[in-house]
This record gives sequence, C-alpha cells and structure tokens, in this order.
Amino acid sequence: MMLRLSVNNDETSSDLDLITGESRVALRDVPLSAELAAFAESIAKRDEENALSVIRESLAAASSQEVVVDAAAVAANFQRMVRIADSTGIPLDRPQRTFSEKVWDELNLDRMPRAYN
Amino acid sequence: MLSHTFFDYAESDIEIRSDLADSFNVYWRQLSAVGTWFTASERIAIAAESRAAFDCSLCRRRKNALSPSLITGTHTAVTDLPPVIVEAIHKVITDQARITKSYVTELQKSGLSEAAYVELVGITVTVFSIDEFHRAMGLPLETLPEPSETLPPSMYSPPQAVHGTGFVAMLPSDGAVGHEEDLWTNKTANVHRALSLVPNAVREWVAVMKAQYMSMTDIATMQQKFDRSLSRAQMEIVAARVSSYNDCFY
Repeated sequence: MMLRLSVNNDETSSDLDLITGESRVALRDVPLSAELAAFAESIAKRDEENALSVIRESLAAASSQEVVVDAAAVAANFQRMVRIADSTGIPLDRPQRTFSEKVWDELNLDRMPRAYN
Repeated sequence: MLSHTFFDYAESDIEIRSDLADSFNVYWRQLSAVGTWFTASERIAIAAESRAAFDCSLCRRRKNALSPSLITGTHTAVTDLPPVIVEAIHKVITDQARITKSYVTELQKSGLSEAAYVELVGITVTVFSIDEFHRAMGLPLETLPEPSETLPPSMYSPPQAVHGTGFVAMLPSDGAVGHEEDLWTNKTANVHRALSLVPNAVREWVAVMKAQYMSMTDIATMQQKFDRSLSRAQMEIVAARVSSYNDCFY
C-alpha cells in the first residue's frame, strides 16, 4: 500500500506484478526497480549466501554499495514488520483500507486466509 | 552496561551507515537488560531461539504441512526456555502467517501471558531484523550480549490498553498518554500500536526501524526528508516485495 502511495506522490507509475513476483520487468519510472525487487525477494526467501551474494553483487554493480546497504536495511526492517503484523493480528487501518480496495484486488489478497481479519 | 562495543563494522570491507551500527548497539544494550515480563537472561535466551528457529526440523515440517497442528514433535531448542515459549518464538519466525487469535489464547492457557507474548514477539522480531540485515549483507551474525542485570521484571502494564483491534490488547490510537506519551503524537497506525501492551517493546523496535527504514513521522508524511541512497519509491519496492513474499497484506 505504501508503494502505491509513494509512487503516486512522486507521480511515477507502479506495476504490482513486480511486487508479487509475477513479473521481472522493471518499473518505467523507478530506477533499479527490478534489481531491488530481486534482492528483496532473495532476502525474504532466505536464499543461501552463494545465491544471495550473486544478486547482491548484481545490485551493487548496477548501483553502488550504499544502495545495497540501504536496500538490505529496508528488507530486514520488513522481515520484522510482517511478523509484528501477523503475530498480533492487526487489521488494516481505516484510511488505508479505503484506499487499498483496488490494490487489494490487484494483489489478489483474498487468497490469503489472514486477509479476512 | 555492556563491556565492549558490538556491531563494529570497521574491519569489514563494506561501509555501513553509522546510524545502523548505533541503533543496533542501543538495542543490544536494551536486550541485555531486564525487561517487563522477562529477566535479562530470558530475553537473551529468546534472542538465541529466534536465531535457531530456521534450523528447527519440526518447524520445517510444520511449514510445509497443510495443517501444521497435526505435525507433532519437539522443537530443536538451543536454550532451556519452557517449550511453550520456544514454540511461540519459532512460530513467529518460521510460520507467522498462520498465527491466529485462538493460538495466542491457547498460549495463555499454557502459561505464557498475553503481555509476555507481546514482549517475546518484540525481542524475537527485532533480533531477527538485525540478523537479517547481516545475512543480507553477507556478514556474520553479531555475538549476543551477556545479561547486564539480575533484577526481576518490572511487570508494568499500561492501564489504558484495551482489546478489540488484534489478537492482543494494545493502547488505543489516541492512548499514548501518561507514561506512554512518548510513543506517538495524537493518533497512529495499528502496526505502531501492535506491541504497545509492552511500551518498551515499541520503543525498542521503532528505534531500530528509524535506522533501517525511516521514522514514523517520515512514513506518515510520504515525503523524503531523510538521507538515503534510495528514493522513497525504491524503498517501498523493497518493502512491498518482502511483504508480498511473506503473504503479509498489511
């Protein structure tokens, strides 16, 4: 949800297929989007270091070491955030819920049992 | 107090932002101190189990099962924490999407109070997020601290906490008052409230989040007033892909 808010705020586009892993195609207006999504996925999947390092070095080659550090930090943060949300069963906040109806459909969130909280 | 500095990245080939190292060091100091419902030793043991969860064969079998509760066995524990606590820590790490209200209620019947569960979640996930940063960067995990205190837990419970939002009691959105007035200003999002039955758990993870991601204020304003190499949209792509992979709709 924050992605859609963020890109709309920047007047850039967002394609949720990249977020769900259905597509590897980079977002038109967001530099490094494909590389960042691949790095994030590798962290979330808990790839072994030999696989993770390839993606990490690919991101570094396309950008900089600072980008890798910042992306790793954000990914690590959300490895925590998803667990806080799921462990405590919090529902979407009201303004977020209203905004998210279209995104909800695009991400096919009804497939997740916890989405009914 | 901790006897030496942790998270010293000077020896590494990678330049790590100092605010990350600083926030991790602050958290390690908090981890080593007595908590609200756990002693310092117990808090560090929870951290150790957080690290061990992915190596637990029972957790692996349950993760792959359609009905995890039908898979019986013993967790591969690395501490002498009670089984109910080990079970909760491992589940938060390895199978969090299948935690339910009834599961949390059952924990209470097994001797893990709701407030203790909240503190357990806070420790488990905050240590996990620091470890995940190291793993993402190809760095070895930091050594866990030694207990710095032998005091009993404070057992503080904020009087304004209420049920009705999630599986556990939490402060109302406008309930950051009194001893909790520093937690947020006016109203806030549910995820910020989630662990507020143990106010220090919120203080601890929010401080780490500020370095790893951004402050709650920056999140709310949708502006980029922080110094990062990534734009806000780039950060949200990383956040959204991690959340989507974890089946987190929040």
